[in-house]
Amino acid sequence: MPALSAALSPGEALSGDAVEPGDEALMQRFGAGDAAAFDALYERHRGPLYRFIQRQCANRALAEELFQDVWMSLIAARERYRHEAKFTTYLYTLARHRVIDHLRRQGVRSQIHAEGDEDAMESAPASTPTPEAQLEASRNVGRVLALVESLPTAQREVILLRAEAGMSIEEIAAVTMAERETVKSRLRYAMDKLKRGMEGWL
Amino acid sequence: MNREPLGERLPEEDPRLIAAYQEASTDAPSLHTGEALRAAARRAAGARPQALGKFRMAAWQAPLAAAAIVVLSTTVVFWTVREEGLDKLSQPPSLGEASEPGKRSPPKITRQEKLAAKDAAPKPPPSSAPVSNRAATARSSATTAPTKKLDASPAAPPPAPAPRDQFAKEAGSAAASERAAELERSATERRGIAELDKRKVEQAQAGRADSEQKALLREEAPASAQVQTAPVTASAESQDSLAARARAGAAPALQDDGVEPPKPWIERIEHLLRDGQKTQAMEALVAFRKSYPAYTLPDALAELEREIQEPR
Repeated sequence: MPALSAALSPGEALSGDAVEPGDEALMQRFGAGDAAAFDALYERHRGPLYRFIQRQCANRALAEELFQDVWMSLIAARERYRHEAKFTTYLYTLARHRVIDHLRRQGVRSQIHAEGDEDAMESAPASTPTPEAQLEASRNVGRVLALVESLPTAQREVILLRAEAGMSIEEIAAVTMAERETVKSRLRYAMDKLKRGMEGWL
Repeated sequence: MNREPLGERLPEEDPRLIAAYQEASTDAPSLHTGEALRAAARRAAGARPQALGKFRMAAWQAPLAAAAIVVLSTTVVFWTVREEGLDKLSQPPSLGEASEPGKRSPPKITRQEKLAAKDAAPKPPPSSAPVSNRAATARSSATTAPTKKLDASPAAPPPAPAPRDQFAKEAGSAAASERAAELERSATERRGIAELDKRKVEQAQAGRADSEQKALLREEAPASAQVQTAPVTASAESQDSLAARARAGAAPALQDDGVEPPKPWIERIEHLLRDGQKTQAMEALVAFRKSYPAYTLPDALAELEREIQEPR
């Protein structure tokens, strides 16, 4: 599959038997006035992006609001979009900035990053699971969600970018503006915590 | 809705955990949010000048053409009917004389003849009497002596058969006088109608001028209010943006959308950093990030950004 994908022109993606336009091509078409291209982009990314935001703010109404803000920013910036970065990197960078802005307003800035000090991050108190999350944790299926939401922010966003957006280490590094090694380290810490939390469940 | 495939497996991750998370995490935004966003995107895409030129023109061309056809057809029909009405009015009423032996029906009066009669006829005194009355008056006053003799003849017993040449002479003079009377009568009617039309047009023009003047007076008030308020809003906006620019450094050349291009902006921030104005550089970088959230920064500025996010 990677070899076949490499044979495609930039902006195209292989889906099933048909060649579908890639995200970047769709975004450029939307920038040129094609509203249907936006519909396709939205359909592709609405779920993962929404969950990426929701797992970080743990509030459905707020997640809807931030989610809407992100797409509105994308609509407003459609003509400035340049094919410099991968579309998903662009989209999730927008989302991450919105979430950070929100957390900063909420006064939890210290939790956003403790880069360079992974021990501190490791020992940093995890955010208290909300009653909603605790209820979910009481069910088997909700346990992993509660564990993800209880991770420190930096580790949580790495896990979410990996599990929801399917990003590589390099792409996660680009979105989070962190070093590649830092991302790997955060992913490892997060995985360890999840494994410990899920012992006996998997 | 679907997640992106994970691609190559990372050594740091546990696929069972990722799969467990993906199975559990199935939330999605509400349909209402999706509809609102799609509508916003359609509005934004439709507001582009290119789309406006291509699509909107086609949208209003057909109704405009239909409206023009209706207006033109109505006008043509109206004028045709009006002309026919005028022609009917100008034709003489049937006097029953055509059936009499030796008298022929009056010939149809042509347009040229009507115009000639109009020019030749004296102008009637101004009167507000109805057209039919005036026509009757004109008919009676325009009747000459030979016609009177003819008019009186029906009361008298029918004349004895005259010689052939005398009969022809009498018939010829009667027809000529009748034709002259008809010409004059039609000219008078035309003048009366023209006068009425002129009066109506004058009244309509006076009414229109009056309404236009009122409309102008109504429009002037909000327009002047707008003129007074518009500069205030514009100046407030420009002051905000100028303040932001001043915080970010010197005034740059802006793009069409009012946003400074990224490269000179970055250079300016780097210059501030080199000059040791770190606080200004940080402020400028924050402003830059708002406009270009996904732009890849040079190393020095990336470092500065990390510092902004995590002050040591």
